[in-house]
Amino acid sequence: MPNQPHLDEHPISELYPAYRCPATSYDELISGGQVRPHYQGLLGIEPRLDGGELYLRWQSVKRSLRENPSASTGQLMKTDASRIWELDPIPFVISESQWSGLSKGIEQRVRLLDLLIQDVYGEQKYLRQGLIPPELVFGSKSFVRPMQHAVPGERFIYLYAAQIIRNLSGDWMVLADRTQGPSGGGLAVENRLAISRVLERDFRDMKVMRLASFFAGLRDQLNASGVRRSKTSRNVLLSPGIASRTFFEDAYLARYLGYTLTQTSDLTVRGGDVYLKTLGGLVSVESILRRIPDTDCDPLEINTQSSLGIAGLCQAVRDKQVRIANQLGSGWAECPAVTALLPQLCKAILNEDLILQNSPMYWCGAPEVLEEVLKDVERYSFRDSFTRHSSSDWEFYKSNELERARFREELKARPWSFVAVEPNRPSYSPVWNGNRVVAWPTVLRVFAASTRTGFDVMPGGIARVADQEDRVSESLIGGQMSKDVWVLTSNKVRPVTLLTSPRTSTEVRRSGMDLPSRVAEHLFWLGRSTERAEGMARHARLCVSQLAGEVEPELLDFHWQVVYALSSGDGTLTETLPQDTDSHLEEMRKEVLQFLFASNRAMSLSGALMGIRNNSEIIRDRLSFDSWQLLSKLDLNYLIPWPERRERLGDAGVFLNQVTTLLSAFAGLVSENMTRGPGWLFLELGRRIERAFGLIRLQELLLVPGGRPISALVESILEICDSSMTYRYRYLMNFEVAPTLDLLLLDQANPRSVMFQLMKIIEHLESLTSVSKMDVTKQRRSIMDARGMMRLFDADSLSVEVETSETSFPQRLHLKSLLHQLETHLNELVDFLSQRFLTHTVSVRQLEDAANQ
Amino acid sequence: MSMASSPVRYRIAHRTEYHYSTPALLCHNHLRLAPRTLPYQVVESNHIEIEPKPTIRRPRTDRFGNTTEFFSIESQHNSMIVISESTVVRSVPDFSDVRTSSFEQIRSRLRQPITEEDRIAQEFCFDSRYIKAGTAFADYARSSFSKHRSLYECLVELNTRIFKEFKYVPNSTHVSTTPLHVLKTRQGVCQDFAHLMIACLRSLGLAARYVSGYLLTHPAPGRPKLVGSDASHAWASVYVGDSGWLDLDPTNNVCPGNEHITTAWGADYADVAPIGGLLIGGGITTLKVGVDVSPIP
Repeated sequence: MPNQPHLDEHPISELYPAYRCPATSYDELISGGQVRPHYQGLLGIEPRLDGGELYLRWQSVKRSLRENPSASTGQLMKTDASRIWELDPIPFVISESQWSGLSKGIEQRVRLLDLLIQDVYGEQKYLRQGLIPPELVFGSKSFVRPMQHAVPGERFIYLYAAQIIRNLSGDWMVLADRTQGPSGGGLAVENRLAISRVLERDFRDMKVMRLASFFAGLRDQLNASGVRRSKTSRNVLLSPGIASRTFFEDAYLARYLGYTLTQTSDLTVRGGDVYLKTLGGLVSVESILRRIPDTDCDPLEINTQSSLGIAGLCQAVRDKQVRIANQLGSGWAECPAVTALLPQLCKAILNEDLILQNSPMYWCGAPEVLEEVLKDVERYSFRDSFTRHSSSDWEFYKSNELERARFREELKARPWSFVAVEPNRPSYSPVWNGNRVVAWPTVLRVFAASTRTGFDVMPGGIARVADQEDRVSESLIGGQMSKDVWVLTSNKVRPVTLLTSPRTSTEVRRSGMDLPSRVAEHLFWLGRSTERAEGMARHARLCVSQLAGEVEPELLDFHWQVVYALSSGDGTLTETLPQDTDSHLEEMRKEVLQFLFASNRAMSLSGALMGIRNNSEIIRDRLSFDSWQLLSKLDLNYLIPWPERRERLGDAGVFLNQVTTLLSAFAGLVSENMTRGPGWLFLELGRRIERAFGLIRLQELLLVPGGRPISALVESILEICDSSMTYRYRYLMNFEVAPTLDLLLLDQANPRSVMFQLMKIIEHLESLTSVSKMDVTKQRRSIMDARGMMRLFDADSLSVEVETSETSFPQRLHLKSLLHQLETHLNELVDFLSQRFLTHTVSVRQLEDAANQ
Repeated sequence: MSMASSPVRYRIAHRTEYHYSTPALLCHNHLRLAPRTLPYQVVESNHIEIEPKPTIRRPRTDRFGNTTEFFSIESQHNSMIVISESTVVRSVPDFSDVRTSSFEQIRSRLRQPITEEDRIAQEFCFDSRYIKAGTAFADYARSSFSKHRSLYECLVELNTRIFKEFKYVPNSTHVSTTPLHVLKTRQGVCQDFAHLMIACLRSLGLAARYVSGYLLTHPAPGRPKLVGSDASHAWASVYVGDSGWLDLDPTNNVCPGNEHITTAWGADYADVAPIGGLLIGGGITTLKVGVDVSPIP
């Protein structure tokens, strides 16, 4: 690149040589060879940057985004589910004048849609007048019959989204309306936080409109509209759960709005009210912001062939005991057939012209439309009138002659069940791809929320881009990357925060027993899996350091024992060193690597990391940002992304150091930063129980068998249990069994002893009684008995070896029986906890049918 | 068909028992057990008893005009018993003027509604949860719909054909058996025949709905006992214009008169199931249904 480009003559081709928008599409960036004014501040036109500077600028912005990822897009980029959320550093910019037309159009559309829904579930005036064809209501799978006359006079839409493109002439066109539970609002906020951080100056200088007031308004509206029964009642966000591609976004939005993140299994209807199942009992739910479709909401009335959902929810809505946003049944309005008819409905009902037009689509139910469509039938795609996704569109060019003939017949037989969609050409906007600015097709998602008097449009949104036009679609998850959307204003930008809500006062509370039982369960397992992974990592790290270098032949037997103990019965090694082979070292190295990286073994570190991941993802809204950052890094693909390095023992050492450091840091955060509520109690109980199990297992495997050289073995165990410093300090270099047993089993001052874990468990059970009103006296007594039993033993008697007939070597039988009894006590505790607090999966089923005969 | 045409007073007792092998912890249910009030049917009394006593009961009228009830039992229980007792006076509906309307005329009125009744009937032209119209049904039904017949004659013929060509086999099907399956296997129970009849009529462009109700259990001496009288019964109803809705019972080859009692109607079985619900726990369920419909003075 030359230092002085001729900006006036060829500013574009020189600065962005790779930026090419096809002549058939609208160019968001360039008009008449010049960068459009609203992009100039952003892309280095004003002040003028040369190509080299531009490169440096966007490259560093991109790096900064990668290094400081936002919560959703963050480390999860490694998984398929979230790679699609990758954020492009260049925002999609909309000028003030363009925005005013667009936002008016959005407001009109959602106003009209809400009127339509209210009528179709009410008096059906428009149906009677012939404005809405009967097919649209009675032929629609999305018309939720039980909701008719259920909530007269109430609004249905609280949050709305439209998927929009811009056509060649620069007009915005709607691809689809989303009236049910549109996703993406949370993502828009996340994108904004990330981009406004890395482009801080541009963001300020360009006067970008803020998003927070939109969400403040939405929250006020949801809170105001509910039936406030008590100060303890909850607002919840109802998510489809971890399997959904938008789950992380749900978690983010729930946190942003201050809502409890729930799934249908967390909610129940009792006495006609909706409740959240928590550790402390049932907590009444005031309003539900839902992300699940109508059909999954109530198996009693809506989908009687399913048992998923919240049975009785429709009745609770009829009884006005809960406010659902968007109201049950609102999915009807997002059917393609309804969208297709909006232009005429707008005219007839609002007596206004539809400001924001549809991307051309025609409902074939009207005879004159069908006739027109049949004239040139092959240029359209055909969408099911009542299915919201274009992915199932029927296309002529994809079908053979027979299928085409069959389709034509179907179209003529049931024309009302099809919408003919013309191909659309989205506009192109600048994207930072690789190391240059390119032009990619772009689809926009814009949001509106209800206010006291009408609807408010979010000044921003999400843009989705992809390298090919057919990869962006009417769905939020279409496309390859997302972009923040900047709406410019000439007014002063007022900062708004969601932190304080003006009208309500919050009651001071200390208890947190409204923790959903499901969340407690995942915290318990998170505690267990982090502890287990840490134990495994320490053990494996020792094996790696012992096997990486030269190994003395006389220590082979000992190493074998330590490696065997790593995964005991689940590994490939035999219990004792086989005599008939000389590849011992290779076998052990292989075993260690498999233990670390194999995903198909019952006991493996990668499996334990997966357990952490599964549990932490689900309760992500309960974890602090820092905790989440640490835990999300516990990913093989992140820590050791090159598969060939997973075959080298030397590299494994570095990896294991990272894992232990991350896990220790997490433990530190938990101990220093987490409120001592029931959530912490369950996490801690999980950790203590798992650590006790780990210690017991290790001693069983390595210290119960006697008759072996002891020094190296003891040294190794102390290393695995992170207790060698203490030992050396107390006993110098005399590695013997009795002092080791004292330190790892009986010493109540050592946080790595079994005794210490029991003391902590007793303490936590006591706290659990006081916060949960639940009686755990019996279990606490059982653990106290275990502690008392340990006090009867001393280290010397435990270390006595006895010859037995069972094995060829002597055993420490007292130790064996003690460990066995401890294990029994702990297993009983785990069973109790699972049954009393944690069993969340009770099966719900449809009643047998007394069919008509 | 029906010989005696004077109104008859009936006492109806419908008892449904669910017994669970392990305790049920919670259930939410939905009932449609109260007979409808109609020009030819007077409901003198209806009482529904539920054991154990529900935590809440919420009776209401659904969008079809049926009396329905939502109730929950939130205490642990080993059985649930629902008894609905009614006294109903039933007459023979008057369809004397139905013979004049033609198939084409009704079909076009459903496409271009003239009256409010036409418009309401439109809803029953479309597919519903259990009934998907299709050419197979139209093909089957078409032979009954010859141009030379009145609509009434066509309908009665189709009713008779289903009665003759399909075999009533108790328990041969289940709730979600499709009309298409019934058309192929040529057997089923009243629910299947009603669904099949409706599928045929909708496939031809008519409006048809599903009716649930009861039959007289012990007919007068010398008259045959009707099939389906030991449980709740079901039949079809078709829109015939100004005369309203004509009931057709293909299971018994009759147009219901004063030996049928109408409980509820809807687009198909899903809208009128006598008892539906969800429960937690309960283990293996044993279901007992008993219906007794007796004339009383």
